[in-house]
Amino acid sequence: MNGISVDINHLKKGEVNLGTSIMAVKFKDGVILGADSRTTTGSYIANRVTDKLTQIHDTIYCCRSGSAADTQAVADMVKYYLQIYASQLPFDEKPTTEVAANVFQEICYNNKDNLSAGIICAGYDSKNKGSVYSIPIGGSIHKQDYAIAGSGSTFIYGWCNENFKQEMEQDECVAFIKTALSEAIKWDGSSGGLIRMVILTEKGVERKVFYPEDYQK
Amino acid sequence: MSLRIVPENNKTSSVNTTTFGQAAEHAPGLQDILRTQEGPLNMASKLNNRHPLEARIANWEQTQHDTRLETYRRVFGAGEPIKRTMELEIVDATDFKPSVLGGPDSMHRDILMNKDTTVDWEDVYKGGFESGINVKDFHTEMERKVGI
Repeated sequence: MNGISVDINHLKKGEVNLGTSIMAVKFKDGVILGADSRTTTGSYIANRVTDKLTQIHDTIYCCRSGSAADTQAVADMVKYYLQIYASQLPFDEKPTTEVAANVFQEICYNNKDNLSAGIICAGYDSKNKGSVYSIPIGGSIHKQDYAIAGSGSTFIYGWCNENFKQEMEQDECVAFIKTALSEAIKWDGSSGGLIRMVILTEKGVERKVFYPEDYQK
Repeated sequence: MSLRIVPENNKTSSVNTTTFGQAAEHAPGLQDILRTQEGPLNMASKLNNRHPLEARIANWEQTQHDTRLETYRRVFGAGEPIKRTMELEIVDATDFKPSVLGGPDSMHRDILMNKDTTVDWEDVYKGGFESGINVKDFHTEMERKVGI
């Protein structure tokens, strides 16, 4: 056996692929999620302005990678679950990111034979502040300070490891994600388009978009 | 109980002559072909050359329903799915109209399943394969219901 064999046919025939670069980073006031915006079917770019950052609850979002259909179905299911869960919480209490991430994990694990979904679930809640959970294909769950995933993430492991700092300020963290995703997009053919970001803090949700002329060096 | 969103692909690993139909009282090893009016049972046609998605689509509604009930169980407690299942079973047990006269009215079931405001193909082609000319005759149905 020479080298590492990679199964590039892991998507079911004809499926739309979120070959992608996604990441989520915990910073001083909360979390920031970032993603590129390219969806491909083979080498055809089906959508160049995709929004891969999906809302699960008020201040809980997820980044989706893998099969577009699978991740949309799972995210819908988790959103539904959290709505019901939130309805029976006391008045001013909100669901924690931990609950959302564990529902993701359970669905991904129990349906692992039919799904190819890699998800990063991150959010802000008042009890735990910002938290980031990575749920790769297979359905394991990993709580981390920052998480990167998708096909483009393989090229930025080293850079992220060197440049990540705990308790960054918001501007620092935005710059960190922008540079990381810009590098991932540079090297990965299935990532490209815009860099979308979602900033989740005590104040709520803020969305940012960066166009290629802003992030390309 | 787990949260399944993809239905099982129910490929049976073994079949016998009574898997695809009710056994006849006079010949317990075989399907009752006089009752079904379909002629001798062709098991090959029920096993081979099936579309790969057929089992998935056939089990879709049931899987989604089960996952929803499991969600309610997690959030609200065991009583919630038990109550909902009880209500559906009450409707099945009490709504009786023979299939030869059109089968039971689906109003109560629709309201419980939250389908009373939608129209789907299942409302046009009611009953699937067991409708139209393929209805169970009145006596078979009554015997089954009463438990003879």
